[in-house]
Amino acid sequence: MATKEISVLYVDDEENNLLSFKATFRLKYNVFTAISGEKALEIIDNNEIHVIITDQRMPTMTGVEFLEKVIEKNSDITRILLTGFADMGAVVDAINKGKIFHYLTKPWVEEELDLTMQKAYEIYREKKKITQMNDKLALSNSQLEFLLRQKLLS
Amino acid sequence: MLKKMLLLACLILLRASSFGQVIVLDSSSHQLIGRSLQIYQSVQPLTLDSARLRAFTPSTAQVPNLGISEHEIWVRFTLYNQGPQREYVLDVANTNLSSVELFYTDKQGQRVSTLIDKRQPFSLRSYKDPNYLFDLYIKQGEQQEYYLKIKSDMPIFLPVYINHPQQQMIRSSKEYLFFGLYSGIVLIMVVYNFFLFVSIKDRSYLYYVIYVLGVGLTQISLKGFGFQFLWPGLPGFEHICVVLFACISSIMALLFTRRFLDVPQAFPRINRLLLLFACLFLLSLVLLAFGEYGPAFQIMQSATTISSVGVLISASYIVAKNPKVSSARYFIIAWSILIIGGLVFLLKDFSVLPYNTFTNYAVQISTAVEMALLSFGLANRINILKKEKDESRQAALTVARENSRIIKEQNIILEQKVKARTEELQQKNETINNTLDDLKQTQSQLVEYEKMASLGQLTAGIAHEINNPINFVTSNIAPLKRDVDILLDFINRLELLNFSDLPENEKRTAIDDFKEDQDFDYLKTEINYLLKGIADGASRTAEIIKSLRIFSRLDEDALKPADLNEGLESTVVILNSALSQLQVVKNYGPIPAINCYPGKLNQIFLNIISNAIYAVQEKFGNKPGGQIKLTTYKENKNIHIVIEDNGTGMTEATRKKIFEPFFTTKDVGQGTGLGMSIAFNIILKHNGHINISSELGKGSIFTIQIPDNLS
Repeated sequence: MATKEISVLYVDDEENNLLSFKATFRLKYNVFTAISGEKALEIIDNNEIHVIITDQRMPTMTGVEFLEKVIEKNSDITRILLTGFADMGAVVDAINKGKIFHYLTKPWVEEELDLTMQKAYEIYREKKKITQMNDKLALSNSQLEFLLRQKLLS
Repeated sequence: MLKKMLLLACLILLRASSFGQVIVLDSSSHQLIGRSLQIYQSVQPLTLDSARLRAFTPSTAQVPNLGISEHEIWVRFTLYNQGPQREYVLDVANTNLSSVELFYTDKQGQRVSTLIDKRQPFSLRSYKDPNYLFDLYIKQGEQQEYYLKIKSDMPIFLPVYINHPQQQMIRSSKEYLFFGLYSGIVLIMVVYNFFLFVSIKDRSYLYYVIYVLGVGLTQISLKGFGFQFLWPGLPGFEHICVVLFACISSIMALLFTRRFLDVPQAFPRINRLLLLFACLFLLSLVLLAFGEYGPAFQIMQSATTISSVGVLISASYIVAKNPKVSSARYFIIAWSILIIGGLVFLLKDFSVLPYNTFTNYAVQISTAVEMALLSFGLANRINILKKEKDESRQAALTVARENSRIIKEQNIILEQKVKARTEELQQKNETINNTLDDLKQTQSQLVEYEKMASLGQLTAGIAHEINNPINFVTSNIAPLKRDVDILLDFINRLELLNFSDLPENEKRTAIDDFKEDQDFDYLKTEINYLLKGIADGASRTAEIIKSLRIFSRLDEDALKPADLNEGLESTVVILNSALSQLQVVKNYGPIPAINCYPGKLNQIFLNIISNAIYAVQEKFGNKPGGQIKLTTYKENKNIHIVIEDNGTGMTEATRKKIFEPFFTTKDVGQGTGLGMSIAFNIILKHNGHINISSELGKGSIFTIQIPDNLS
């Protein structure tokens, strides 16, 4: 069994989809599921999530609205929209507002979804790496600054 | 002796001169004795004896003319009979004398007198003759003196004849013949022209007829035949008849002249003159009516003279002015002849012309000729009028022909125009028909489009609706297979373990390890979930498909019994995804299946509910609170379907325009604007009603009524 280093959050108002998704990918990924956007946001708060897959049509909070909130919380998480029908308006909103990495349609094809999630994780990792690099650089920069200041004082 | 002889001769001569000539009667039987008459006019009435002593004057004329005189006229003459015949007749051939009385003394010395008086009935006369006739009886070789006492209020002229009785007969029969001829002419003229008047209705004929009748009667009266034949018992009438008839005929002559020569229009002055003459005659008639015979006669006579000349001059003037009028020439000639006749008659009376049959009858002859000529003139005038009428008719005919020709031409032009117009109209009609066809096609296309649009809306919803169950059915298969593989693998292991020589507790441990390793408890739950998901998905898909089938109703063009609750529900299922964010309250009442076009009704439900969803979303967005209420019930043979929402509602203007084709409140591309228009038509097709009440900001209520007995 592969190490389940990738944490995926799947949001859908249809419980059967959640179960199906979990059953399909639980062995390969660290799967989290949420029945609504609100529940999903709670999970994000309490867990480190790498990839989010969300349905568009949901009561109370649409996929795009949910993704907008996710961006506010953590823009590093790679976002994927999974929807049942080609609603152009939703797709455009998802790209412009939800800044999604990929758009997928239901019914999903397991391999395609798997591959997409892998790629998404890669992107997450790279983003993370850059963030870490930046942190390191910032640290070394501040150390260097400190050194320079001491040199100047002496 | 010689002296004595001479004296005697002188005496005889003197006697002859003083007593007039003795009229010698012999075999020459017809004598006019005017020159042998001696005349005395007495102011007062005389007896024969007193008259004898008066001084008589010998007449110088063959026909003595004494003019109008109120005096007693005494005439003396002496006859000497030479011939063998003894009986003679004295003929005083003037019928206008009032009375004539003959006196003589016979051989026995007895005075004999015979009176013929006009004031007495004609029947009293011994000779039934208009003239005054007396029997004379003289023996051969005898001489006899006679006296005549004459009274008259008309001009006194005295044509006195002595005739043999046979000769008198011949003379009288001549007169009768002439009278007959003349009356014949007059009657013919009267009758003929009266018939003409009746047929032509030209008033100049009437004037002419009365004129001719008047003239004829005047002349007949003058000759005494009127008294003899027409009114023998009316001496009073005989007294006035000449003036009466003369006045009537003159007035008619003047009226005739006016009309015949068209005087009133063309010559107003002459017209006045003629009317003045007519007034003179009328005056004469009035005087006559009051018994003033003398003045009446005199006025009549002078008026006749003046007017005949006046008329002749007027006619000549008219002809001179207007030479074309040929009938006027007839008139002048006729009038001239009349005047000439009158002149001849007068000249005879004044002894300028000899007194003979011609001169005596000159007036009658001239009137007869005048009548004829005037009749010709009338005929000519009528001919001219007829000719003019013919000409005008011909002209009118020509004009009419020309008109008809023009009309024909115009007809042809019009026909061409009509043809062209018709063709144009046909072309236009064709264009319009084509346009109509196009429009129909467009309409059906639009209806189709609307159908497709709602179908598109449907498919969008259905795609989501159907994709979810399909998704978890399909994606459940792989994990289920994996789980089943794990289970099969576990069975294999169990089998191996079972037949291995391992002790019981080791076997137990191996199984537990494997279970733990595979998270067996979770696996069981997962398999259950997966199977439930598949079952769930399958049943949901089936339900959606069923709803779709109910909704779409492939046999939608046929009237079919259907449950409207079912249709409404299928619509809700199809719209489920859109309805997911709002609350749907269903109050389906117990309604029977009714005859309807179910597919079409579902289209209406879809339209109205879609609009309701739209209105609710506009108002609430993603916030909760939106509600759609569906109610059905039956009331009075009508099925009511009420679709109520608490959305934005609509303004009165929108509500009024909602059924207009292409009216939409949605943005361009969002709606066709045909949905409600089509819905309205569908409801009409069901003999139903749709009622909308709406309040802006509060929501709308659509109530559809469909009768349950549609067939």
